[in-house]
Amino acid sequence: MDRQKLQRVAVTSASSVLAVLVALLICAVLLLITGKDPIEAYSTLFGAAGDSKVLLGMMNRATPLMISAAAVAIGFKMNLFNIGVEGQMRVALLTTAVIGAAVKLPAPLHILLCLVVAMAAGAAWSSIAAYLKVKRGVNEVISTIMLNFIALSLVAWSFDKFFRVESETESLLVKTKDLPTSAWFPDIVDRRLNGMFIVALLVLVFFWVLVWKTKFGFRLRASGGNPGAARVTGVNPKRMVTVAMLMSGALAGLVGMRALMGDVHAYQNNLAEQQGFNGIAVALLGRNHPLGIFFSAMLFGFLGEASGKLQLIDIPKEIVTIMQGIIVLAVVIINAAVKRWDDRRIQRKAAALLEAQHAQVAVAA
Amino acid sequence: MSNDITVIRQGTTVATTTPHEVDRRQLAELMVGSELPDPSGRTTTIGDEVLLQVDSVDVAGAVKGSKLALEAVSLIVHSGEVVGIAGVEGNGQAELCEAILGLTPIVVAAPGDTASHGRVVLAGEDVTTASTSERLGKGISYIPFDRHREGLLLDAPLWENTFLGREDELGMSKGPFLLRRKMEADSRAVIERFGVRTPSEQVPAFALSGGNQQKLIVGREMSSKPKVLLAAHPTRGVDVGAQAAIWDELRNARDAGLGVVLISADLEELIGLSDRILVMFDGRITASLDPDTVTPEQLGLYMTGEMQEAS
Repeated sequence: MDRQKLQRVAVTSASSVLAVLVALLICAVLLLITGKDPIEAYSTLFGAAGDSKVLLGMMNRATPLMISAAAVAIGFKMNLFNIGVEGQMRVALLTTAVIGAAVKLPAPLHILLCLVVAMAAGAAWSSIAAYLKVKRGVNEVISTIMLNFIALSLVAWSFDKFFRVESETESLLVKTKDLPTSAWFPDIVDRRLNGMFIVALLVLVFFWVLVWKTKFGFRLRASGGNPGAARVTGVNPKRMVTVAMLMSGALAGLVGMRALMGDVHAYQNNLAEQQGFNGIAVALLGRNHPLGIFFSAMLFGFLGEASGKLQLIDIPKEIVTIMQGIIVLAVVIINAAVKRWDDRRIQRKAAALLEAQHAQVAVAA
Repeated sequence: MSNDITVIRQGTTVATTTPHEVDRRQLAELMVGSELPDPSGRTTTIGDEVLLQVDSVDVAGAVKGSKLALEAVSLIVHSGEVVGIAGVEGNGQAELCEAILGLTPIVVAAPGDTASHGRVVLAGEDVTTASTSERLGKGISYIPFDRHREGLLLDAPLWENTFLGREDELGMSKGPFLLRRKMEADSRAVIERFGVRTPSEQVPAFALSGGNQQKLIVGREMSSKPKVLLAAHPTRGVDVGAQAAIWDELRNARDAGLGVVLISADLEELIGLSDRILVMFDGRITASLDPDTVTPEQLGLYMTGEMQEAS
C-alpha cells in the first residue's frame, strides 16, 4: 500500500477513534451528574475484555451487526438510504422460519435453502421501496420507514393468525414450529459463538470486492459521488437504485439468521429486535467501509455484552445504549470536520509536490 | 487599468510591457508562450462522411405543457468538421446535448405520426432509441458543461476518473472486475499526453486546478477515439496555457477525422475553431454563419434574437 493511502486510512481511523473517546468523555460527565464514579464504571466495563466469555459474546453480537451494517452501507455508497433493514429482516425471519420448518432436506442443503429464502424474502420486501422510488419518485427514506411499520405489524399479525404453535412446556412463549436440526446453523464454540460469524465475515469480504473491485461497484460509487457525472457517462440511475436496493434487502434478510438458525430455531416476536436499526449506527461509525464496519460491530458487540457487568455495580446498563448513541453523533460531527481538514491537507500537498517537481526540472535544465 | 504589465510564466518573468504596447491577443500569447489559434490561418479538413445527423428534434420544456425547450432542431456534422453552436446560455444548448446523448426523450408529436418523429443518426446508424451507454459505445464523447457537476468524481483518484464510463470500451475490465494496475498505468499515459499537472494518478480530483481537471476530462473523452465529440465550453474557466493545449487537441483530432459539435460562450474560440457556426435562440437554430466572414458583433445580434436568417 502506498503512503498516501496509508495516510488516508490513518486519518480516517483516527477520526473514528477520536469520536469514540469524545463519546466516552461525555458519558463520564453523565455518570458524574447521576452520582456514579465514571472511573469505576469504565474499569468494570473495559475490564470485561479480559473475560473470554465476554469476547465470544462480543463476536456473537457483532455477527448480525456486521451484516446489517453492510446492507445499509451498500445503499449509502450511492446515497441511497435504506432505513428499512429492520422491516426486511422481520419479513425474512418469519418467511424462513415457516418455509425452513416445512421442508425436509439434508443439513448443508437445508441451511443453504434457508439462507437463500431469507435473502429472497428480504429483497422482495425491499423491492417495494425500489419500485416506489424508480416508478413514482418516492423518497426511499420515507418509504422504508413506513414499510418498517407495515412489516412489523404484518409479520406479527400473520404469525399470530397462521403460524403460532402453543408450546407445551413453556406456556408463555409462543413460537412457530421448530426448525428441524438439519436447518440449525452450527456453533463454532458451543452455545457461545455461532458459525454465522463466518458468514458475516464473508459478507464483508463480498461487500469489499463488490464495491471496490468491480465495474458495478465503480458505477455504484460514481452514482453516489456525483450523480450528474454518472448519468452522462451512461450509468442508468434507475437500474442502479433497483439493484442496490435489492442487494441491500437481500443482505438485510440474512441479519436475523444468527438468532433464528443459530439460537432460537423458531420465530418469536422479539427475535433479533433492533438489529436492523443498529446496523445504521454501525455503518456510520465504520464509515461504510468493511474494515471500519468490522471494528465498529465488534465495539458495539462488546459494549452490549459487557453492559451486564455494570448492573453488578449498580449502574444502569442503559448507559451503554446512551454511549452508543453519542458515539454515532460524535462520529458524524467529527468526521465532517476531519474530512474538510484532510481535503485541504491533500490539496496543499499536491501543490507542494508539483512545486518540488518543477524545481527539479528547472535544476536539470 | 494597470500602468505596467508583467507576464509571469511557470515562476519566471517572461515579459514586461504596458497596456499601450500590447493588445489582448499578444498578451495572451505571452502568457501561454505560444501562438493562439488564428481564424484567418484556419485550414478545413471537412470530409464527405456524415458522422452525426440530428433530424428535426423536439424536446419538451421543463414544465409539462410549457413551450418546447428544443424545437425542430436539425444539424449535420461531417468527418473532420467543427460545427460551432453560438447562443446565450439556456437557449437549448444543454437540451441539444442531452437529446444527442439520449439523456432526455425526444418528443413524438402524436402516436403514429411518423412524419414529425425526430431522429439522431450516428455514422449512418439510427440511434434514436439507443440508451446513453450504447451511444457512448458507438463513438460519441462528451465534454460536459460543468466539470464539477457532470465531469468528475471529485473525491475519487485520477486513475478512476480517467476511465469513468469507459471501463469496458478501453479494456479496463475483465469479466465483472476492474483491472486496477492497467487503469493506473493507462491513466498515467493520459495524464502525460494531455499535460495534466499532478504529482501522481493517486491524487483525488479535487486537488487539481480547474484547468488540469478540464485537461483530464478532455483526455478521457478523447482516449476512447470517438467519432463525434460534443464539447460544451471545453475551455471555460481554464488558464490560457491549458486553453491552448485543449485547442491543439481538438484541432489535431479534427484533422484525423473527428466530427465536433462545439458549444461555447467564447466567441473568439467559436470563430477560431468552427467550420460553420449555428446560432441557437429560444430552442431553435436561427442562423448558419460562415466564421470567415462573421464578426463577434454580428454574432451577438443573432444570439440576442435581433437578427434571424430568413430561412
